[in-house]
Amino acid sequence: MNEQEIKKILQELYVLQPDLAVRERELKKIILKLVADRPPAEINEAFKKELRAEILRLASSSRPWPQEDARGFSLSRLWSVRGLVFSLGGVALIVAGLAVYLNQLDSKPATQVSPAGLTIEKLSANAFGVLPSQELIQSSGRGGVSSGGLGVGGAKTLTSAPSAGDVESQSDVDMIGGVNYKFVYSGNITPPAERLDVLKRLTGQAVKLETTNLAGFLGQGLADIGTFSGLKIQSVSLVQDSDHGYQLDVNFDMGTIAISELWNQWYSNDGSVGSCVDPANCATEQLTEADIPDDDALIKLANDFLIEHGVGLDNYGQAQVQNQWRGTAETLKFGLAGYIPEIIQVFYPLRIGDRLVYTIDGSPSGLYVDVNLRQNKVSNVTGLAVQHYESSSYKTIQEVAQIKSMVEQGGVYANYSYPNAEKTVELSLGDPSVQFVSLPRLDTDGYQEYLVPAYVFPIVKVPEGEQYWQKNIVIPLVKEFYDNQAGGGIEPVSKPLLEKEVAPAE
Amino acid sequence: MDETKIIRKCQQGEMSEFAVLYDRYADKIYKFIYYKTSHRETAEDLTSQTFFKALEAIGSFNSSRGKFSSWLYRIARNLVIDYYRTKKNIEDISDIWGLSDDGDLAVDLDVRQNVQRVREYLGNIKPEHREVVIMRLWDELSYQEIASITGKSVASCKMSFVRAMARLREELAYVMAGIILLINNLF
Repeated sequence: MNEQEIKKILQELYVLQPDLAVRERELKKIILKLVADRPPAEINEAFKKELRAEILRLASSSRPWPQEDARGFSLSRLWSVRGLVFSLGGVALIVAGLAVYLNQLDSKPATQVSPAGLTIEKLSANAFGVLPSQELIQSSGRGGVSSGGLGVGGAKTLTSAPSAGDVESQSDVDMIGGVNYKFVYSGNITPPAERLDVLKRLTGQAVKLETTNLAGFLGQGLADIGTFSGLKIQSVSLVQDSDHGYQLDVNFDMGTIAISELWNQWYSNDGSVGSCVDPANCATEQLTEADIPDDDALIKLANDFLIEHGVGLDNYGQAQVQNQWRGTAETLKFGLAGYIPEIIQVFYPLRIGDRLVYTIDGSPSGLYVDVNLRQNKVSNVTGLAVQHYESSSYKTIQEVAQIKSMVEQGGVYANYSYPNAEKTVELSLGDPSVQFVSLPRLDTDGYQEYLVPAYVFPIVKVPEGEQYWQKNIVIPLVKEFYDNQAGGGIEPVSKPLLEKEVAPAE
Repeated sequence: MDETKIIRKCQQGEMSEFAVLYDRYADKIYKFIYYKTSHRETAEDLTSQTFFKALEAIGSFNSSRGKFSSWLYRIARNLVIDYYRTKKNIEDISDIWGLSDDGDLAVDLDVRQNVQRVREYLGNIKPEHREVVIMRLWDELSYQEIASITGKSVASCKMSFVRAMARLREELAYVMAGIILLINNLF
């Protein structure tokens, strides 16, 4: 514990009991002595490693079903809340006005914004400059080791020589038993069109603040906010003060709204976390399979909520109930409580025109609606975002051999191949279709998100008794994705607003 | 990767992601338990149980109701309570915290002196205050985290710490006065 932390502890003390401040020297001495007498408690590394391996073994034996989707940042649409319209393009959101407006919400009828909310503005070719590259995506989250599941049918992927850490965790994998995967596509791959449109979602539109009004609103002697010129509202949290109320977290920079249940209005304030108050009694507290409504009922509940709150579903595909848990209810048998979720997700895949949007790992992107089964209500909605895009054409890869090679290795990032694999599982791929892959980038301009055309090969056949976590193999088609390495590639260009046109939602 | 996403992945079946959570918290949980048991084998045993239970129950974890770390510490704390209840047949759990050197339980030899020293000056503090002091200074947890783990309010945890410090300061002053008196008598 350093000097600064001790100072912080002392300051906390003085806030509660100011007269202690005159005894700082003594108090500091006491704290230092207590800290000095902290017993050495370093964990034994061999034990730690052994326990990790055991946990991985248990994890692999308890969850032997494929992972269908991953909740990442995804596209969605503009959202309206009972008459409160967040139009990120130009709403002058004044805090004082907002407060008054919110007070009036209950008495106003619901107002629907544009049913589609999708706009695409066409720009000249290569207008976005440097796109996220293979290397960038890899280093900013996907990493050299995929979350493909260790021993649960997934594949560990290494994109470069293994680091010391990789080697260490590799031994864990070896303990579980290595399986190699072979991806087979028997059809003919045709090169895509020479140029395809990349979409860039419009973000970073923080709302300019009328500081004079804000100053009036906060004119209670706190500070003269009006003296800070150029203030913007970057994000705002709105709280619904009612039974089973919600919190809306609006991020103007990212153009997103997240809806979540307001904890103190949904749950008893007993200090517990999770529904399982006492882990020792989890088994008796958990729901049973009989408590789970059927899929139609869950989708209806989710749909009703979205419709009630003006969330149009025009740009989403068929709702899907996420039912992976059903595998665990039968297979989790290691003497502890079974896995019956209390929250089930309904997923709406995002569709831009006739294309679906995927992550680089092959999971569909879209809107997630959490249904709380105990409360029989929607508790969370994530994936809501503005759907205003700019579009610009980019050159595509034309080398069929390169595409084929990536397909056969299971995607852009090669699967790790076990030198002494216990077996090789052959996975058959169906015909590809051109969809979008979502590639995020965080740079000096803030958060950027690009939708890049990609071939999506569905995994259509997994041998009986085998599992594989991915459902699709995604191959981005823009050449630049593969060319840009560590700052190289196409230089950024200023954004020319040529060929300006606004395409309606398809 | 964001912890909520990792947990969500686990809840969706990608249980290998649990290893990431383990890597993040193994050391902290082990220390948390060790400070309460002063015995390596016991700490290892309870650390294992903590992660096994968390693995088993992660499906019921709801991130909107609290942090994962607090939930994990809470499991560990419950296991320590169970351990003392079993070993010492203690009903009042407020008596057990931190100072397990009563001869009935194994304590590592190399920390016995530490434990003894701590007992000397924390022994007169109320057990519930003692727990907060240890979690704040040894585990370096925030009051918010301590409150979540112990099920008390943040204000109550802060007051426990203040009262413990005030009490220790009084004792120190008393000792110092005794030393001054002794010195005066000597000369």
